[in-house]
Amino acid sequence: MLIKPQVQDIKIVGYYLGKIIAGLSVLMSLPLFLGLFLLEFSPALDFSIAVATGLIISLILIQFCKTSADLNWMQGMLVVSLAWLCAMFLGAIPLFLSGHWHSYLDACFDAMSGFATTGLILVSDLDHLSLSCNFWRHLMMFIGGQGIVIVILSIMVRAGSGAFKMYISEGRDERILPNVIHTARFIWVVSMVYLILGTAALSLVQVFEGIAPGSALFQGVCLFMAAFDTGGFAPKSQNILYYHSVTLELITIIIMVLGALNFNMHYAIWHGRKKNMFKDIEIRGLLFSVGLLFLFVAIGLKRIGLYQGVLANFSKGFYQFISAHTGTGYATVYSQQFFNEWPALARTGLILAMALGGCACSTTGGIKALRLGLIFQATLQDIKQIMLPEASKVAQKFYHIKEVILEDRMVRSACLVTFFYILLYVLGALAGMAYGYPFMQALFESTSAGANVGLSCGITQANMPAGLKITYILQMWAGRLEFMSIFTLIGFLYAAAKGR
Amino acid sequence: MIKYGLLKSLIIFCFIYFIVNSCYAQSLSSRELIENAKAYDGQGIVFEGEVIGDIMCRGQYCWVNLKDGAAAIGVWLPAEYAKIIKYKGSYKQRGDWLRVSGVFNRACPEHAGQLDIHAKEIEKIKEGEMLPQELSLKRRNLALILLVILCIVWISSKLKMN
Repeated sequence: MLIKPQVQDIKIVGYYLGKIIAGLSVLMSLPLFLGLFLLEFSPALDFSIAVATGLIISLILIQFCKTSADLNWMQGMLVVSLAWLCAMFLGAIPLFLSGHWHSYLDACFDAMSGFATTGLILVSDLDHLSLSCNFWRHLMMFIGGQGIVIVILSIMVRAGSGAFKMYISEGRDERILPNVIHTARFIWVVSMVYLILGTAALSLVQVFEGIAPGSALFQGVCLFMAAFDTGGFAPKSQNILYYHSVTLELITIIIMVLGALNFNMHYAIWHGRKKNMFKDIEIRGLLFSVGLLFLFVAIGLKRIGLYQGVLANFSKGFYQFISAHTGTGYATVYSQQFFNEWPALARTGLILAMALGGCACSTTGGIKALRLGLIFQATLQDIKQIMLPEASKVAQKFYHIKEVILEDRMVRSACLVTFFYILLYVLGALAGMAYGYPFMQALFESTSAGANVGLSCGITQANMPAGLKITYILQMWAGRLEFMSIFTLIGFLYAAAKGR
Repeated sequence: MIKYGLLKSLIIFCFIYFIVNSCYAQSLSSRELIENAKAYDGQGIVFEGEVIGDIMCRGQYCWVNLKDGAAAIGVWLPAEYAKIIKYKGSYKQRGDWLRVSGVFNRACPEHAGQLDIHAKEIEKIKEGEMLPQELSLKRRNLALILLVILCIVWISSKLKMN
């Protein structure tokens, strides 16, 4: 029997949602102050409208839904799925008011793309966008990459079991520390240390490449936030092509790879436990897929001989591949070139790299190396079982942070999420085809949206059909949250309509 | 016979002059160049666009990014050519509009396989300008109304708590 949700469920969800919206509004005041500091008064006014709207909604929700009850699993999942939608609607307000987005839907598209660290854009005339608005685009990626709810959690002092449920609902499989708030804070510490180091490196390179120090610092911060959170936004419309610098490309590769690593791995490295790094099935899986799929790209590009020399092949072939595999979406080639000039084999390598993504508990999207590793281990276990006498039982062990015995529930979960990702990519491709795009282009764009990558083959433009924009928004949302919280929201709405 | 030879040379010269000039004369859009990069590779072309962002000087040469509305393309030009640029496109400025004649590269062997233009000549078509910074009255009023509502909601929530 389907049970109709209680008023108490709605009150608890509303209360936590109010807190998250309040946190987001406070974060949105950063670009507001930047706008005032840079004498960009019109964008500052746009941000003050968005901040005030967010605070009004949050105060009303907190006041009317005030409760001291902790969240259960369903409520935690609902809070997370709705928080991401609210963040999109709220984050899109200053974008839309800037006049650089043709419609509020376009602004919502870019806001979701930012929070979900995708990187697909519909903005027009990006090169004349205010610095404060541009900063907000990148800050959305930074907040989204850490996890919107985690960011707010680390600000909130109270940490009951509800906090843990929201943490898991946001697509994080693992805790680094026993307390989820400590985990969230550790993620912040790691990110802030890398932010300082990465920004310094990127800014210095830009200064050496001829960019004025002030501009270099601003662009350094933005580039770091989008690279470490494997987002893919850049302050200029040409993306990484704007800088004409292989050194800058090399540094962004290092930052993208750091962003694609499991935060547990960062924790182990920070505590000097490096020796077991290459024993980890996740790292092994990642290295294997990088090696195999880059072979596709390299052979494809070599056959047509488009890029001459090691440097050109590194800057175009390897860079695009790493950008795709880490789910970043930084581009050193124009989007049209993927289908006009790149061979099918190289494109297929890119699509597969996008679909797989980086590590679990990182800022990347996609299926992720850990799940591939688990499926591989389960296959190995089954083969061993067949080869041994029937009475024997094979216990498959693997190394991931520590020695772990493979359990059926792990394999089941990995297979389910992998299946849903593949379904997501295929459904998005079918939607693209329904709007008249060829299969490969539609699959490329759909995989990019679903795996939160951001590389485009040219479909994502301001003039694309509204239905396709909504499809990609849903794909980015579902791909980032890894499905369960969205299924819970659908189930909740169904129960509200049909339950007793 | 000599007359005939002279006439023939003159015709050939005029023909070559016409071809070379027609190649450079007609400005191509960024879309045409990017989508037909193979066809224009290594050819002399003319491209027009607004100077966007920074001028990145590296030794005797500079990188300037020109945008024609659809997309921006990097132009590699001698540093002395860059001296004519006064306005660079940003939030507060509309950049100078330049016409560049040069060689188009689909995957430049000199610059790590970039799609770029190596400029031979540049000309300023239109000088940029400072863009007006206007505050919308409607938005200012909306912000004020929202601030008043926010104060009311905040005070009422404080009263309820007490």
